[in-house]
Amino acid sequence: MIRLAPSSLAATLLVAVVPSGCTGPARSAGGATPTIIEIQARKFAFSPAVIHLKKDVRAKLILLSLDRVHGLSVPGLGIRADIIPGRPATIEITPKAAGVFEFECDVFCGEGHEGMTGELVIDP
Amino acid sequence: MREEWTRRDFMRLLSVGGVVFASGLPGCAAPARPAKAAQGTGAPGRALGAEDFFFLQLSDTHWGFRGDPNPEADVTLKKAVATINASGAAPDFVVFTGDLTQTTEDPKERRRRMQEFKEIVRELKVTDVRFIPGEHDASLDNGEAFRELFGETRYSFEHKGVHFVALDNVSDPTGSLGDAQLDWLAKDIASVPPDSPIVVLAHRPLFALYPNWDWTTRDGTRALAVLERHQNVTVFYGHIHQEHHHQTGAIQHHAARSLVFPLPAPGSVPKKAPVPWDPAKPFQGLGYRSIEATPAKGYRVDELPVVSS
Repeated sequence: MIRLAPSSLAATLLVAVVPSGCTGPARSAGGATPTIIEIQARKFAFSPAVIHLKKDVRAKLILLSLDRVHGLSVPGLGIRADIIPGRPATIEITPKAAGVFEFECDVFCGEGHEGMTGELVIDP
Repeated sequence: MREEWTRRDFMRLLSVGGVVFASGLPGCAAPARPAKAAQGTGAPGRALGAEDFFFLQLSDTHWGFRGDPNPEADVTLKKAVATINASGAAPDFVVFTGDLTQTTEDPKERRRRMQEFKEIVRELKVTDVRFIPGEHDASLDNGEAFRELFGETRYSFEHKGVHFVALDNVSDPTGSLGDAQLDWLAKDIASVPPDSPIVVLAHRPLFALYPNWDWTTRDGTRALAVLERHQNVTVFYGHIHQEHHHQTGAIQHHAARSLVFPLPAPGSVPKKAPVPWDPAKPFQGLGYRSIEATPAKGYRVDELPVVSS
């Protein structure tokens, strides 16, 4: 599954979400070897909760759940992925503009669900 | 006429908060518009007919919640029930639009809270009380406990010329309706004439109100596409713990206040967090609403406080 950002965001990034079961990295803009960042999800936090990426630098976010099903949604970038225990998901992203984008767990996971948030910081 | 007097008595006895005239029915093309405490003169809904009626919407009671955002959470719902009973109101029915209970991972505790909630609302002097789940009730067990104690999570019914549809956008923890329910919705309203009034009851907003705070339904646009085939659709929902009015196409959406703590306006603060409790003004920002259905003109929505002044 390749999921592109909405057209209004096309200038912001190029992104690919690779769900579990897919093999090999998805093709994306940015070239070269991507920066790899592992993000762990557990009730009720992401670690790290603040993720820094650089504009125009390709990155691969590897999403792992340590307990139950979570989701990672970045509404400002139009991307999301389910995070299923034992099945790492990958988001490939090449940010095209600097900015701060909130992300959250969008699969209800319990009493602390509303606080399971973070920030994706795109540095210039 | 009996209903008119009952309604007037109700509004006189309770302190009236914000009033909205929701004009989603034939003859009222204008969107819902907020008005200051208008006390109703000249408002839609005054010329009551045989099929006019009113019902109450209560939402997000979160029975079982404990915390600083509401140090009186153990009595707030009880006070609201007492206020309604003391008013002598005779609504045709009462509907609770989800998050009846605060979530818990303990299945026994979840059922205990639901049972306590049922015992409290059983005190309402209204015979017809309906429920739909919120994510706190249903997302951790896909609605199993809710169905045991309250029945189906989605259903429809007719009432005095209005077709009501209760949707479940919480039993799936992704906040989705799902293909099966969307098919059911399409079939359910297929036999409703296109110009007949439809009221949708849901917990989450069906439109993308503020996805950054999960104030959306993942496949809500598919439901709206089905509903858009009808001319007079109004949605009453909860989840966001505040009064909110919005229109998508010809469909009006009205969010209700909570009975546990208010939340800030969408995107108004960096992090979503309850509005702090003010000891000088207990229950401020909390409440429930009366919805007066006047098929000839529209709906009148009155926001009402937990405790009448």
